[in-house]
Amino acid sequence: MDQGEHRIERPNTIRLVYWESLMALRSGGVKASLAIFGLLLVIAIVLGVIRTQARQNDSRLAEQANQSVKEIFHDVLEGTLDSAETTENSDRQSRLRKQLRMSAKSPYLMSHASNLWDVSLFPSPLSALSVGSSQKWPDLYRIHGVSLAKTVDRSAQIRPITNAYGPFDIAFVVMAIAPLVVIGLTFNVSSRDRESALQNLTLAQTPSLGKLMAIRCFVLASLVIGLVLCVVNVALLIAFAGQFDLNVVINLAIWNIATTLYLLTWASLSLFVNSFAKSSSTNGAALLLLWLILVLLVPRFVSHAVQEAVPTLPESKLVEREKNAFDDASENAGGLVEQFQLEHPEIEIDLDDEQQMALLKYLLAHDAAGRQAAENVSSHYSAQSLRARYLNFCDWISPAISFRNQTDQSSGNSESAFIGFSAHAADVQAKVLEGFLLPSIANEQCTAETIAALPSFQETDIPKRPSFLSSIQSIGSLLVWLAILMILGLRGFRVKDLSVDRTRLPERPGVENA
Amino acid sequence: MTRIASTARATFHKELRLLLRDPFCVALLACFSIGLAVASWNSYSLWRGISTRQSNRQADAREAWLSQSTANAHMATHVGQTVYKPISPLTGFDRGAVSNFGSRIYLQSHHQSAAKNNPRQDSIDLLQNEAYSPAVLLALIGPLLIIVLGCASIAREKEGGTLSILLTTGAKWSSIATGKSASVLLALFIVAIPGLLPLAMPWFESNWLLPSLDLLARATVIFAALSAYYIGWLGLTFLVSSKSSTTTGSFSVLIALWSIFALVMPRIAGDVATFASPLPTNAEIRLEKENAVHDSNKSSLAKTKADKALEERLLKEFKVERIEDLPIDIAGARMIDQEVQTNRLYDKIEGRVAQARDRQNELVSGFQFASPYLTMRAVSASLSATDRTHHFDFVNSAENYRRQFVKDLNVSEMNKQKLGSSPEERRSFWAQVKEFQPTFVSATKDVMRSVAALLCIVVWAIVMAVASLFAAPKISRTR
Repeated sequence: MDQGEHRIERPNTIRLVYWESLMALRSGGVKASLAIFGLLLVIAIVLGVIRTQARQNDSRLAEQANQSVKEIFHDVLEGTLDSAETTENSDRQSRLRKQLRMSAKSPYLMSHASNLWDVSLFPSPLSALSVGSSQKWPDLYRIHGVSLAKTVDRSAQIRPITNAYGPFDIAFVVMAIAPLVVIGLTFNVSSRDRESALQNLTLAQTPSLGKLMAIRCFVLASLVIGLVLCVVNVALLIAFAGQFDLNVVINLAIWNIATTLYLLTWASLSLFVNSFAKSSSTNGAALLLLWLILVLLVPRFVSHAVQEAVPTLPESKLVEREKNAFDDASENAGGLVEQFQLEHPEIEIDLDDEQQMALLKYLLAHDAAGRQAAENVSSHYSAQSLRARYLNFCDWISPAISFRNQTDQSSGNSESAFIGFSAHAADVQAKVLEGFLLPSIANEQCTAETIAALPSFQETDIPKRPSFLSSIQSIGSLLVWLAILMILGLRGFRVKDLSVDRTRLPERPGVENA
Repeated sequence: MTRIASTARATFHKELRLLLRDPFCVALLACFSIGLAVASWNSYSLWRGISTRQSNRQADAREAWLSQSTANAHMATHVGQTVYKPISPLTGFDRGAVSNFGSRIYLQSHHQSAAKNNPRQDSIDLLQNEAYSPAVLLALIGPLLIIVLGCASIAREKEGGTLSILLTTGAKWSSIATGKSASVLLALFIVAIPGLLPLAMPWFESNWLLPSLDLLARATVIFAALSAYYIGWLGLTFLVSSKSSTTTGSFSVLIALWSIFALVMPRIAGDVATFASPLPTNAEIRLEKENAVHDSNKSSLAKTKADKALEERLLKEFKVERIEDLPIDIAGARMIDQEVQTNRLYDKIEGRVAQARDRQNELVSGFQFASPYLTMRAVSASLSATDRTHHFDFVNSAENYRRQFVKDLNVSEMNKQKLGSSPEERRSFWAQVKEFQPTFVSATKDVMRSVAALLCIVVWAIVMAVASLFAAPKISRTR
């Protein structure tokens, strides 16, 4: 090296990150964008917390109601029910007391009693992240006497969807708005220097243009990611501090990873677009077009395609089919009685007792219709589950789809979670009927054991643990997107890096457009 | 004046030429046009499918009613009948809230059923927003194109340094902006033609459900509102672009405004309305009605009193001394009386639900002043007869029909009218119950309903257009 030659000390990666962070934080535009975005995040999480708390309260009330029914039931059977009505009793409770006083001892009447038992789902605190399918599926099913189809008819239990534009939740803010913020901050990382004639100066500071641009993109995206994770995690901790268990922590950790990867994917997409060395407005328009396609068009198209590929029956049809099955079984009631005698020789049936026979035929017809309904409901849920599975397979098509699926999964509001809960409600209904059917045929009365045999009515059988398989798929697809875009972006800059003449004079701004 | 016009004309031609030469802009416009064509075809075929299905089902339901084997008139009120919601012919343009509500109602005596078969409930949707009908795409993506094209148009001049030269030659900013706006607007309306076709398509169908003049009036108002909406967005784009020092800054601000107006505000408006005025579930409403009826029948004394009052009224009306001498069936009269009482109870409960719904509508309407997108969607859905209000018009007309047909049959029962023995006689007896024929309100009434939203759009267009014409960019001395 000649003595007179100045050796330019190139900054290392950490120093570059530090400089870029400082520059980003000093920019008025970045601060304003983050402030507005932070406000939207706060609104979304507050709305999410209010929604979740309301749902949790409803679930607690349902559980209390079940408990109170069990207590009254028990008191009636033990003969300890206070006949005097107290003023503290609510309208529903006093009606229940009257109803149970008349019917608690009869298993037949109990099997036909509707609106007595509630099967409820207690929403996870992470429900505040995403409304998911909770607007279309209820948290509560009311056991509807002997009709399984009416029990699982969700149209009765959900509130009408009044918001045609969809809910404003964290899932939406991160899936749709956060990428726009990332695009807004990064669409001109390389063109900005070129247009303000600073490119050669920048090149002098760094060994690799690609590396510098990647650092810029990821630093800016990290500010957005930091803001999202900070607001969401702090808000959840404040609102649901007592409800954090291992399952919630794991789900939240997975969601944090998915959010980070998703927003980094957008940063690397921006890096890739910037590597084409077009003008800022072209970069902005191209990124906007990609956002439109990946966030608004592809998820809608995929939803539509999956729906067309797996048609499902409307639930009102299930009620109709159950009714038809009952009519068919009633016509063939004689055969059902013979079958029953073969299966239950221990129960004595007086074939000459017309009243008993009529009751038996009626109960057996309902039992047969119930079995048919259970088959229909089961195949209905299979179709719904298949849809959910297909939707998970589409994770690879767009990062927005994988992020959305993962958020719904983590929040416990995915389609599959609600299908599972609905199937659980159907199961509880079957168990309740089973508990009352044999005593009513054997002409027995309900006892304390009958109550003890009743199911818990809570979603205890629903798996609460995170579904690792679908999470691996979502996270894996996000990683693949991120890696491919980053490689393409860095490669694009590398080609530019090799071809750039560092001794050339700075370009005049706007030359490309002119 | 002539100079202003000639500058505007020259700018218009130049901008159009540049736009057509830019492959990126052409590709963007082509994509939009193709997207609109797909959405139009999809919405239109959906409308045809649903419309045909609904009218076939209604015909089947009528046939089932006419050929029923019910023993008497009152029993027929319990057997009931199902009515199907007619679908507006403009659903192909704007699906509005059609998918959010049920499309059939089962009508019977003593019960008010909710509309069932809600398509959105059985659908899966990752985005959970409106279906992409042409109206949604025109209102959502149209402004985005205006931002991209408008920003690029100003950026070209600014970055090439030609804007300063133009302004120093004495050319007015207003004439330049007018020329540029006209070119963007023309390009946009040309590519928007596939999206506007569903407004005209119902004329080629046999069953319109709406008179042709009514349809024309609706299409005209929608088109005018859309033009005003676009003019407002163009004004905003030029206003921000001319005042911003950098293209990137103006682009970011405009995208932020678009996402707040079109993505954030509608969702927040809906959520606020839902939180502030929650609607009960169908099961809750049903239970409340059952309890109300149960409570009203609880006191046997009150029931006896009501029966006594009815008897006295009838004896007086028919001027007879004894019940046995009445020329009518007293049981039928009691049923009519009972139905009137239950209807009164239902009205009270439904009134409360309607109040909650109206409160929701008011809250969402309040947000329309802050979001032109919401305003445009409200106008478009209302004039396409697919919004919430039209759904509840159908629900109310179905309820009125239910009351009338139950009353008519109970009157037949009271007057001891016989069904007849032959199938023809029975059929003609059931045919006395008129067929359910719902109608849509006139275009004038719909315009009156959405007059506030229309005014909002006009104000938005005027304010933005005027502001952009007077917001001339400063000439930079460094250029």
